[in-house]
Amino acid sequence: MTGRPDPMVPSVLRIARRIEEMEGVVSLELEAPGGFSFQPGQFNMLYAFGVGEVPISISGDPARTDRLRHTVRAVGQVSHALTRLRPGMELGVRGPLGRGWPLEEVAGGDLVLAAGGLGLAPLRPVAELAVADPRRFRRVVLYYGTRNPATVLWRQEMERWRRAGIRVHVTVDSATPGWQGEVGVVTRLMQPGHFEPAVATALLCGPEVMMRFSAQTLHGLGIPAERIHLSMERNMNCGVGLCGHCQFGPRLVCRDGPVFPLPEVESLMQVRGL
Amino acid sequence: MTAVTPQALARWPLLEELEAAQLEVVAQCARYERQAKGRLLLHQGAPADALHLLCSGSASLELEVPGREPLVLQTLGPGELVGASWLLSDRVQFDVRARTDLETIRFDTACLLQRFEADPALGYAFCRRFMAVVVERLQAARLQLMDLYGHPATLDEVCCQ
Repeated sequence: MTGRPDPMVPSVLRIARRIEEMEGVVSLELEAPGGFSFQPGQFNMLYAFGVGEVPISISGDPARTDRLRHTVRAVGQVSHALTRLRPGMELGVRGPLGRGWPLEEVAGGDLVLAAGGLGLAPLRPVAELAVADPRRFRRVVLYYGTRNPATVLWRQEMERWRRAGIRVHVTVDSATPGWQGEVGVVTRLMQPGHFEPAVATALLCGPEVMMRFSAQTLHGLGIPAERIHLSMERNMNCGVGLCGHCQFGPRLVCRDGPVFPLPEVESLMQVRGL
Repeated sequence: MTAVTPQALARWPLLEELEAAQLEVVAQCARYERQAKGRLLLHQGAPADALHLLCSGSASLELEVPGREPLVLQTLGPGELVGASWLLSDRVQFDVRARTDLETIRFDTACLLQRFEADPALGYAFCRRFMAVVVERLQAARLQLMDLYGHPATLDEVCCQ
């Protein structure tokens, strides 16, 4: 928490609301009585007592400092334990941690958001900022790709974002009967004319392969590499640059990231095993 | 069906690198065509006698599966090609359905092949651009198949979700 002297000591927060987003994916809204401010793109270490800690990006509205929201997919022991927590129960929170999206450099320009799967979570606060202050960005485009129609996150929110002027493009890799939307990889949604490359900044979050191809496509459409930012995933343990588990070449993802401009990570992403 | 001018063809990335004289020749094989929403532009199993460049609207590439609703493999928009197997196959491989009202440039593939045989430099230039489209489509299909968003269980708690 801000102002806390020891970043390794978690605050204990109570769950106010639990939202089952889809099978295996749960959003937890935590009460933050003292207020909790963060930069979109930052993450917290969430501690399921007696089980362990995991880094989870913040998916809530930055204007709601009284409520802190995380969206968790149950993939391992700790995240399974987190998704089983119920309203009224408590968990430990360390953060906000890391470097968020460079929103100050986008102000007045076009904002291109590219998300894959649950990678939409750290971009959700950005979309909420854009909705709350429509003059902050010239144009906002969201490209969202996911596995199939059952895994499309936040349909209602996306409809609200659309009504607020965000151009939302959604595609699925695999369609099921009744799906009326696009089918194909997310890069195929990206078309010239959706944004003005000279004034556009792109924020990408999703599986690394998806980000690599999305960055290539957006760069090919004219967005300079230094204005393409990626949220990287590595094995973050301490969250504050002490343990070194999340080393990524010369950088530590928890301390120097998770958000990096493309030129800082482009060559590292090509290194096998890194 | 309306004739297509070489200038109209040059607007599309697929053909923008062709020389003016080459565009003149290709335009002789091209006509505008419209298709109403819901109708099939190409039928699986039909003779592969046309290549379409989508000008406006959206189409879906579908696979007819017995006993099931058609499976949508991919959706396509302006600037994209459908009927891409024309060069190597005499039959259409997938259904292509108009998701909205469509306008396309329809290339008569027999006409194209005749022009390419008469002018191999034109055939080479066209096929180079055409191959780029096919490779891009192949890469996209590979990514689509690899289940990018499925979370490998072995990574366990590695990720900042």
